[in-house]
Amino acid sequence: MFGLAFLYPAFLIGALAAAVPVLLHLLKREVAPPVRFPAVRFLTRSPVEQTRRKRLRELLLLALRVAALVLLAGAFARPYLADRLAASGGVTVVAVDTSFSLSSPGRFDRVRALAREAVDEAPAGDLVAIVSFSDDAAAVSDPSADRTAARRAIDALAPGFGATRYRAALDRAQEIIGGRRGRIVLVTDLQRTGWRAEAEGIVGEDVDVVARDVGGLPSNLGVADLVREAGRATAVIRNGGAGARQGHVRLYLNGREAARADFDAAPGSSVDVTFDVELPAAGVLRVALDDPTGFAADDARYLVLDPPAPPAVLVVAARAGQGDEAFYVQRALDATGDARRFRVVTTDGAGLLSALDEGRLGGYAAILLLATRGVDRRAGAALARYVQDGGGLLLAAGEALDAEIVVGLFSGSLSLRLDGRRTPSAVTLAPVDARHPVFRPFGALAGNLGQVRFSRVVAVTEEGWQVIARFSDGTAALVERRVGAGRAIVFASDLNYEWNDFPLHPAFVPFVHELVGYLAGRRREPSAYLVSDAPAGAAREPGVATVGDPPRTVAVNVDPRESDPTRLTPEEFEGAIRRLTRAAARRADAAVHQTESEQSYWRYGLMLMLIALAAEGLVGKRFP
Amino acid sequence: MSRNPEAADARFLDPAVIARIGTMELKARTIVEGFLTGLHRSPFKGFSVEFAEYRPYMPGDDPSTIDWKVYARTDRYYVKKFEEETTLDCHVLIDISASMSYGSGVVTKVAYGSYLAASLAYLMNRQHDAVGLIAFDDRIVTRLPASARPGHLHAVLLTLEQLAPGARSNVSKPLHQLAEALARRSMAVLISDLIDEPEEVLKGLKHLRFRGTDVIVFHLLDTAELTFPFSRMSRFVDMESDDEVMAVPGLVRDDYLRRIGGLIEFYQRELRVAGIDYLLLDTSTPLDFALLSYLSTRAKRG
Repeated sequence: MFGLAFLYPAFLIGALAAAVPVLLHLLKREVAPPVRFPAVRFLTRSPVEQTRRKRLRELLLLALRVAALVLLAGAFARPYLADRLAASGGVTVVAVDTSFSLSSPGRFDRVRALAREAVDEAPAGDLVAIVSFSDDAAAVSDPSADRTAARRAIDALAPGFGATRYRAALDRAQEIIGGRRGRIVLVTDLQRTGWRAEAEGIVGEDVDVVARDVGGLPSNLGVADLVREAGRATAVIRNGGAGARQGHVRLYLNGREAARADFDAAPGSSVDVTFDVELPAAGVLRVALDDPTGFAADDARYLVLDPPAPPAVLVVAARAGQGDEAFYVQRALDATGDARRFRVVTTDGAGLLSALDEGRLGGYAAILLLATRGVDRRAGAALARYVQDGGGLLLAAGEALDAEIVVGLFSGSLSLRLDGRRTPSAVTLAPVDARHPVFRPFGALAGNLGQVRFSRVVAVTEEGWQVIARFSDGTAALVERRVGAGRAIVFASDLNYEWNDFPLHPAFVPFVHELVGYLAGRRREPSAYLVSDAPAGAAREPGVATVGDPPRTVAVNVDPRESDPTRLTPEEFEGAIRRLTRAAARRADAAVHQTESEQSYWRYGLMLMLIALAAEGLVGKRFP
Repeated sequence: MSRNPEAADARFLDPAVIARIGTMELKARTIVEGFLTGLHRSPFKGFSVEFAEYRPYMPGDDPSTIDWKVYARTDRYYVKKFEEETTLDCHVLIDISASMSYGSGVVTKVAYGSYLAASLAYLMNRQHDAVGLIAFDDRIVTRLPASARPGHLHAVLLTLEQLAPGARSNVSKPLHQLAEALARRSMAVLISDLIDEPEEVLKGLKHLRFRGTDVIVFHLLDTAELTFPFSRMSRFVDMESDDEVMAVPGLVRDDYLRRIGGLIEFYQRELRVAGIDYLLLDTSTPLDFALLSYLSTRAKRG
C-alpha cells in the first residue's frame, strides 16, 4: 500500500498543539453540575436530548479544532506518498560482471553459480532482477517474483569484451530499485580498475550492496598495445601472472602473417616486442599470441595503418565556390603536397544555413567565417552551439565581415566585441607566447611574422579572451576563447591581401595551416577505439570495421586495463560503496524533494485546515 | 448637603439590609417603622393608619362613643370607641417547605417570608389585632393561636426566628385545617411559594374564604425562579422531591418562563374571582409592597 512520508517531519511536533484544545475541553468541560432548584417541575425533560446534541456539537468543535492544528502541522511537514512497493517489499538486483576478465576457461561457470545463489537467497517477497554489466549495464531480467526466469537469464549470460565498471552496474541497479528498499548483489572478480576516480553512484541509503567474489584473476598474458614506431610495429606484451612467461607473438598484415617474434616477460611486467618488418603506409595490422590459461579477448590487438582522413573545413565567404575572401586561405590550405591535410569546402551564408538545416555542420572540424553576408542570428546561434560541442571557429576581419553583424551574432554566446576598423600606421604582428600551438612550429622563425605589414585592423576587446598575438602598437591581433568543448579564434585583420600583405609572405601558409589545424584538432577522427567507445557501425568486439562518411577503417580493441590483475579488498570495496551512499543520499534527497513538490499535498492540507476552521466558526456561532 | 429621606427609609425595607439586622423583633420594628414613616410622606395619607385611640368626632358618629374626659380637658369631642371595633384575629400562615429555603441572593424565600410575617405581626399588634402564626410544610409544624396580648408578639417573633426548613409542601392542608378551626370571622395571610398543586391550593383558599375569612396570599418567588438566569448546562435537582432534570438553560428558558407565568396568571385570575387578594413578591423587592397590600385589605375590613 501507499506509505505516507514527510519531508520535514520535525514540524509534526507542532501537532502537539492539538493537545491544547483537548486540554481546554477537559478543563472547561461542563460536567452538568447539580443545581438545587425549587421549580424543577416546570422544566421540560426534552432538553436531555438537546443536551446530547450540544455534547455532540462540542465534540465536533473539538474535533474540528484538533483537525485544523494537525492539518497545519502536517502541511508544514510537507507530506508525500512514497512508492507503493517501497512499503510492501523490496527488490534484489543481482548484477553479474560480464567483462572479459571472467572469460578464462571455467571461470564464468563460477559466476553463474554465485548469481544463482544470490537469487535463491533473495528474501521471500522480494522481486528479483538480473543485470549484466561491464562497460555499461543492462537488465536481462526485469524485477519479478519469478525466480525461474531469473535463473534462466543467468544461464544465458556469457562474458563479453567489455571492461568492469562498477558504477554502471550500481546506477542501473539503483534505477531498477528506485525509491524502494533493495539489495544489490554484485557477482564480480573485484578488479580495482572497475572503480574510476570520477565514479559516483546513486545507491540509496536503504539499499544494501553485497559483493560476491568470483576469485582472483588467473595467470594471464595479453597484448596491451600495438604501435607503429619508425616504420616498424611494436607490440607491448603484459604478463599479469605470478610466474615468468615466454612465448612468441605473431604479426599479421592485412590478414596474412608477416612476422613472428619471441618474448620473455617477467611476472607482473610488460615487454616491448618490435617486429622486423617495414610497414606500408596503409593496411591493417594484427598481433596475436597464444595464452590458453588467460583471457582470449586480450590475446590479439589491431592497428590501422591508413592515414586519417583530412578534416573537413568549411570556409564561409561572400560567394560560394572560390569567393574572393577565401582565395588565399583556400590556396594555403590546399598547398600541402601529396597528402591533403584538409578537405576544404567553400560556401556562402545560404550554404551555411542549408548545412545547418541538413545537420551537416557537425561534420566540419573547423569553420572559417570570412563574410557575414546572408548569415542571420539563427546561423549565429548554430555556430555558437557548434563551438560549444567541440568545433573550431575562426573569424577573420575584412571588408566582407561586418563587425556589427558579428557582434550581434555572438552577443549572447561569445561576448565578442569588434569596435570597428581603424587604420594604424603600418603595424606588424608578434606572438605573445611562442609556445602556443599555432606558433610553436615556427620556432625561431616566428620572428619572420614581424615582416608582415598590416595597414588596416579592427579593435578586438580582450575581455574574456586570451590574446595569442599582438600588433606592434600593442593591440590584440589574435585572440582565443574556449567555449564548452571547442574554441573560437578571432584574427583582427584580413587573410585576403587587402588590409595587409600577409598572403605574400612565406609565413602565411604555415600560419593558416597551424591555425586551422589547431582549431580542427578536437574534431580529428581517431582510427582506433576501445570496445566501449566503438563508433556507430562497428561491432562492440575487437576487430577492424569500416565506419563513417567518407568511409574509414578503424580498429577496435579491448580495454587493456581490464587485464590488470590488481583487486580490491572487501574493505576498499565497502569504502567505495559508502562514498556512493553519501552521494546517493543527496540524490535521494533531491528526488524526495521533487516527489513532494510534484504531489504538493501540503496545499490540500492547508485547504482542509481552512475548511475545518470555517466549519468550526459556523458550528460555534450557531451553538447557543 | 441634601439628603433624600425617602431613599434612606426605603433602604431599611430592602430584604438584604433587613437580613443583617439582629433579632426578628428588631427586624419587624425596623420594617414597620420605616414603612410607616414612608407612608406618612406618601400619597397614601388618606389611607392613614396613624390611628389613635381617639379621633375627632364627626357627624354621624355614635355620640356615646365620645370620650367626655378628653372633652373635659380639651373642650373638644373625641371618639373613643374606635379601639374595640377594629380588633381582628389575623392568622399568618407561612410555608416552610424545602422549596422555600431557596434563595439565589442573600435572602431565601423562607427568610423573606419570615420578615414579612414578623412585620405583619408587628403591624397587627400595633393595631391591637390578635395575631396568630401557623408554620407548615406538608403538615402544620408550629401553631400559635391568635392573641393580642402584649407578650404574644414576642412569642410570634421568636417562633419566626427559629423556623427551620421542612419537607415537601402541602399548602392546602393547613388551609383546610385552619378553615375548620376558625370560630369567627378573621383574616388569614398566606405566605408561600405555592409550588404545589394549584387546584388543591385554590380549594384550600376557597375553603377559608367560604368561612368568611379575608385571605391575602403573598406569593413569594425568587428572582431566579422568575427569570431563570442560568446559562450552563446543569442537572436541576428538585429541592423537595429530588427529581433531576438535565437541561440546557438556553434551550428550556422560554418554556419554563411560559409555565411559571402560567402558574402566576392562574392564581391571579382564580383568586380574584374568589375574592382573595393576591400579591406576587420577588424576594429581592422591598417589603413595603407587601405591607401596603395588607393594609389595603385591612382597610376594607374597616
